[in-house]
Amino acid sequence: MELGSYVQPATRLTPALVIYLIDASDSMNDPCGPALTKIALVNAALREGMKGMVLRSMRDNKVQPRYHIAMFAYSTRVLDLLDGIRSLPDLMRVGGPPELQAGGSGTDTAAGFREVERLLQDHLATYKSCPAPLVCHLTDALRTTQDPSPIVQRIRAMRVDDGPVLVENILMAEKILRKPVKDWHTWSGVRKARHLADGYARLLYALSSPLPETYRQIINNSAGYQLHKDARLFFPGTQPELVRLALAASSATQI
Amino acid sequence: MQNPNGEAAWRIIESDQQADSFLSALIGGQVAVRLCSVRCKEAQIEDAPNQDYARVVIDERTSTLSFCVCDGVGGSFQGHVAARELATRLTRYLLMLPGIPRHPRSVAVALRAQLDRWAIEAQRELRQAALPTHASALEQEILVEQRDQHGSATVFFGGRIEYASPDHPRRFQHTLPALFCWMGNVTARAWMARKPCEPLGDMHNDRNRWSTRFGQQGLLTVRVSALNRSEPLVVYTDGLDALGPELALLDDHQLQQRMWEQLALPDSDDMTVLELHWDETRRARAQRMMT
Repeated sequence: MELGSYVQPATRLTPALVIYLIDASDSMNDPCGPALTKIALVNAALREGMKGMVLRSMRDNKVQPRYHIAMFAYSTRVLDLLDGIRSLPDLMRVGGPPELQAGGSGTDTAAGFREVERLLQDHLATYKSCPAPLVCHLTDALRTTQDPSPIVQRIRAMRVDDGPVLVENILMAEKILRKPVKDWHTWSGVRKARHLADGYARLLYALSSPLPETYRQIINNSAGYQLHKDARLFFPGTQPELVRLALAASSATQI
Repeated sequence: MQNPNGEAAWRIIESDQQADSFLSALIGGQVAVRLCSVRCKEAQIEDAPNQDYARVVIDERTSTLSFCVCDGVGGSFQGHVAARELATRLTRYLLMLPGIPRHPRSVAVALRAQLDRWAIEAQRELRQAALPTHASALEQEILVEQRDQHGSATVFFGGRIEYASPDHPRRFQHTLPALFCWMGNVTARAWMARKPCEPLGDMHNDRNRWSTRFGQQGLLTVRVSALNRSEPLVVYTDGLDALGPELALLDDHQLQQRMWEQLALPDSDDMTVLELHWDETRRARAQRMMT
């Protein structure tokens, strides 16, 4: 797959499109740490992530439309939570991202990505001169329906001038890394499939885009991480800090 | 009226943060000043202030000037406020120094303390300013957090130059004593005595900055130099990085033209350039323009 440059800044005239695709199946009600459920962690991290975007978009106390957001939740079926694409100021006017509720026995990941593909097919031309759109998929479990790989590959083959569409995966599951990490701030990121202990983690890793160099520098410089050059946009989401890191990566365009 | 420091006798040239500035002035027949500052496209559409701010303060009695070019940090709370606060304080401070020391160390030590002191005052003022009523609850929450935890921040390049006439008995004929200080990526192109042009500033590094919340953040650089009298000093913000070396060669019309071209780019930034000329050619041109 052809690499992109990923250097186009997110501006009012060239906004960055970020599409969140969130697993809201019943298992997301399971605990994640002593005090939170997974879905509560996602809600908190999404709010933090939006705050990060707002901070990157503020000028003279006003939020500039440097980011456009779409948000889908899926379990047995797919919900379009924002009714299409909203600019960041629009989203702020309605109070920020909606509070997600988990429920539903299925985990139809393929249906979720299909909706993302449809949205991109309808709107990609609008973002031709903008930063490459980024799809941020967050899940905790095995899919229960068909393999989403072909759809994700088609999404990753779509491109704008800045480069192919980016796909990021966050897997909220325990023990997916072969080696325990002592300090996440010195962690290099997931660089090889063989570093993963779990088959579904390896699949999601394979479906994740390489971490663009410009994004890597922004994340490392602004948040104090040490992600390596060959890391992918794949993160274990086992604790708040990591989910925050992963969501920060979703908006790490230049501004 | 003038206070004991003689401040009323100071002449001030500054950019306008609410509109574009194209200013030329001739100071005492010895220094030609050109100051251009243009807001980026986004700020023009929103009618938001220019986050850059430049200020030159001249004391004609002592033939001394101080200047500061600031670029308020976009991700901070109202970067334009820090830019203005710092430039106003720093130019006054530099002009009131007893002179330019032989070594920069004493000034650096004192200036570091000042930067922290000014931050406390400025942060106090910032907290008293009202937040916009149009902002949603989440925006208000973010603004308060941004103001209280990060404050307003700016990168800057400032200096003091003693520009007395070359025939002054205590002055060198071909050089001007100068003191420069900077944090972050505001760049100066300066010609020192008998040396080729040297870019000063932290170039692409904006992590060195002054913040109303933290004072000095990162490295402050202070340098004592002798400027070549036949060459200009050009100081500009990163919105003009693409034009850097050619800025001093452009006449006013060409400069405006090139700035408009930069404005047409989607990622245009606020642009400010300050030029100080001591040579006959530029002074004569400035004189012609004003008559």
